[in-house]
Amino acid sequence: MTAPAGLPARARWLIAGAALLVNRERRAAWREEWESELWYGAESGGMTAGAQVRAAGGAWRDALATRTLRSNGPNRAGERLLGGSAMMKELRVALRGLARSPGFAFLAILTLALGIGANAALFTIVDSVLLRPLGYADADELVVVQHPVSGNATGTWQLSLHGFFWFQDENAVFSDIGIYTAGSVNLASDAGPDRARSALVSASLFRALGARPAAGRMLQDADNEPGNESVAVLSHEFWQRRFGGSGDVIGSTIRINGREGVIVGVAERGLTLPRQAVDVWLPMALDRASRPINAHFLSSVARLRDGVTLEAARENIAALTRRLPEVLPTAYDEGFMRDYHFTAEVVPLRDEVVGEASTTLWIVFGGVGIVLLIACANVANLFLVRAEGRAREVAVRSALGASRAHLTRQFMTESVLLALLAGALGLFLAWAGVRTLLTLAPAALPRLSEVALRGSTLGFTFAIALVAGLLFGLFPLSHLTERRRASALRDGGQRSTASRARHRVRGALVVAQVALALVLLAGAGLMIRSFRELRAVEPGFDPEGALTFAVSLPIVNYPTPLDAHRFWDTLLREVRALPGVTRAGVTTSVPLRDGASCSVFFVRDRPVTPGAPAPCIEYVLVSPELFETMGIDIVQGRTLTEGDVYPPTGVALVSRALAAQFWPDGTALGRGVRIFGDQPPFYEVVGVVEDVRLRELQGPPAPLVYLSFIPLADDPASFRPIFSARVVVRTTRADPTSLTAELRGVVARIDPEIPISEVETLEAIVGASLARVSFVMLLLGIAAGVALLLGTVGLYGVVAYVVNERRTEIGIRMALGARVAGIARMVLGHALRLAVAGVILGFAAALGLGRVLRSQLFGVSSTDPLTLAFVAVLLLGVALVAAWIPARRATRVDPVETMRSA
Amino acid sequence: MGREDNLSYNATLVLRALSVGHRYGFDLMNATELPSGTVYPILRRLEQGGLVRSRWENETDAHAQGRPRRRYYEATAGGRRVLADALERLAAQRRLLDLPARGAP
Repeated sequence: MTAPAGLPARARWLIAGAALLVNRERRAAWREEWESELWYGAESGGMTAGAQVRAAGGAWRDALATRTLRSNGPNRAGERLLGGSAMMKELRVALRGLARSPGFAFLAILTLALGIGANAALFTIVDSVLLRPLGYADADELVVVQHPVSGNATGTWQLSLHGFFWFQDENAVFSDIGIYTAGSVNLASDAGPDRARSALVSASLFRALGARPAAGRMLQDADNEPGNESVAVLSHEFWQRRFGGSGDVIGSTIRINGREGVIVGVAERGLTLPRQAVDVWLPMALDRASRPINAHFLSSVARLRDGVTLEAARENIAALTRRLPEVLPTAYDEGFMRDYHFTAEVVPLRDEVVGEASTTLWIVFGGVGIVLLIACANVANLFLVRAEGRAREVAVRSALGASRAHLTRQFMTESVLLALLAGALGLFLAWAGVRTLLTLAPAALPRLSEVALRGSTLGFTFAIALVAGLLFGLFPLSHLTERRRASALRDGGQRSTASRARHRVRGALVVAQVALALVLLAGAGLMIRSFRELRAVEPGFDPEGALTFAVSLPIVNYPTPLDAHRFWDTLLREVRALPGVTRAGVTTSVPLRDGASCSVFFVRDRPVTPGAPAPCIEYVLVSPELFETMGIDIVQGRTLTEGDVYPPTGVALVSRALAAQFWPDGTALGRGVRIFGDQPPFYEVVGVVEDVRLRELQGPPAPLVYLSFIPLADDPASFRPIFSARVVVRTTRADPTSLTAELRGVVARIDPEIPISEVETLEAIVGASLARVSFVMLLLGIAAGVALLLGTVGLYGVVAYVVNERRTEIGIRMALGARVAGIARMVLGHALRLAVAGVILGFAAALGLGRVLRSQLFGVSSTDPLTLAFVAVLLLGVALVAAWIPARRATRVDPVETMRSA
Repeated sequence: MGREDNLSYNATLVLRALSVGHRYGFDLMNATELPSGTVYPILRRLEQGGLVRSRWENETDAHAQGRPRRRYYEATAGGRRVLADALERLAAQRRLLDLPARGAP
């Protein structure tokens, strides 16, 4: 039967959901009957949609009832014709049981919800970022081709243009390979200038990704022919946001970086580059006639052919790479291949996207996993204590004929119900937690925009709650032996002393809690120390009271270096005139944010020996006053002045690290250096400046060359004038970002088509570079704090329980002349023994797990004795405090009172 | 103890409705004025206990009339017997309820 038309979707879902409870053989018929029921309700009974939904709720009752019938078999069902379902009854009993001891229920649910919530939150992030496939068709076939280099430079390079052609033509393993670079462009339309995120791509990239247009067409190979590149494809999101999703946009013209471009299509919804969102897709000019050069800045994505393994692809591409000196002799020679250890690797796209985040997230996930274990240990302890208290109830029930199976079911229902309630609360905590985590997470964490609470989180939460619930249900069962029930009945359950075995279980739980807490505390301690070490690293500039923003000049409107220079010069002069601005400069790279390109570096009078190519050194183009604006110290010589800039005089400044590397014994001043060519003119080194960290605070500073942003006119290999740069502004204003509107106004006055973007304070940039370490530190810190709290409560609970149980014994001891101090020592000693055992176990675990954390640490060893010792002392101290309260209570035991009640 | 002792009031209503010719879910609902969430569980238990049996209507018949198939229920012989007992018991209760209240002696 087809599903009756006119059934509200909600009613249909309710029925479909309830049908899952019905056993499989009956399910289809059961569902059909209910759907037809609602159909008749609407057709002949005049039911409204709301009434249909309410009636569908009744399907759940029916499903539950049907289920009970199945599990109990025909005879049982016959006996039960009168009553409601057995399951509902068990649930009611369980609810009553929990309501009778609200303190226990509250504590157990809260503890468990904390553990489950933290895990569900982290699971959501791990699932969204690491586990879910990337948003492309058959994403597991997608790979990235890269060149790892070491020797004269270290790092991972992307493809060169002609290297890409070579791989595209000759490979036997990819169905397609595409390249791209990400950037941003100025878009001009009636709505004013706008900065849009752009991707310059080969048309083959879309084929490799399996991307389809939502309207119009995607880019084609013909668009990549030089001269044909004035077309654009909009992203679906940008199309909606900027053009209101209008179909007229296809075929219309927009101005991209000052040039006209025709919109030929809109990409399918959600299409992005692997790491970045994109507003507009533009064709890259792929000129096969161009001179092959050794520049590796083209990111790639390729799709493996059916049946081709990663290994086969690796071998094929590595073999092709080895032939590069033979096929592209002007760009690659054997010396280069050797000195840079130049090879190729093929890695799954997902690994490339997720990268280091994987380790970070798994570590934090492991941390909250430990919290859950500790929470479980606590709740298990609570259940044990409760089981003691219920020994009499159990005895009475079984004496009245309750079977062991019946009691088991009742306990299980109760503990599962409790765990599921905790799971529901935990899910809410997770929902709130994920929102908080997203604001804390480092921006470098990939795929953050995809993080969402999905069905998988629901399933995960349900699963851990269920497992926890079943586990706790088992605990009281171990007490249901016949003999124990008999004795409990006899002495009324009043004085039955806990058996040695149960003491051992309880002690073991506490030892495990302390050990787990130590592992987390040690991890958090190491992260805190790393964070402090990292904060102590001098970035090499003064981040306080400085602002930076990005500006890009359309090359059509600023064709020559002189045009560009006029713009920058005017801009700097007007910015300096703003109230509260003390200095301003321009640079192609802000430290800790942008990185910089490296290029071959030559020194005058130091000839290059054949087969030993020059090293790749990073270079930055700067305006005068940039060093003063950034607060980068001049160590030796002088700074860059206006006199060096136009007409350009050909001077350079080098970083302290570069000076030390090339002239360890002499001075760098007066030397001639050159980027990108070994023929004159050389640039004279006029100053040595303090090292800055270009990418991250970790690791030694890299050698750097600073050149004026106006190159020598007669330099044949001249780098081009800068069209895209960052302006740095130093201000006396308390809040540097208050300058933003005025800065925007200044730029708009000079050229209304140019937007400013990426306005950030230098302090925020330094903060972002600490983000990964502080993220791990914060989360492990919170986890450790919760672990410490739960562990303390667990220890307190056990000691207090034991003291209470031993009241009589303590009373007798005191009556026999034991001293108060002796009693206290006895109780504290018990607690301390458990804590010490936990600490020793925790040490072993922490040393073993330290290796996992190593990649996240900075300036501290994973076995740092100081941290471990501090953590151990802290734990023992807290343990003593936790035991102190019950110990004091023990010393106040009144011997007469206890003897009498005994 | 026989299961007939346990027939609930609602189950009696459903069984009675069946015995007078109401045959499928929606029809029974109208006749008994009980909600579907009550009637269906009762039908399940009655069927499980062998007091009721069911069969599905021929699909082509339903299609011809442009409506979903019906599942027809009917009381078994056992069901009719249990119903008779139950009705008798209800009648006895009824007589008890109809007795005029006596004042204190």
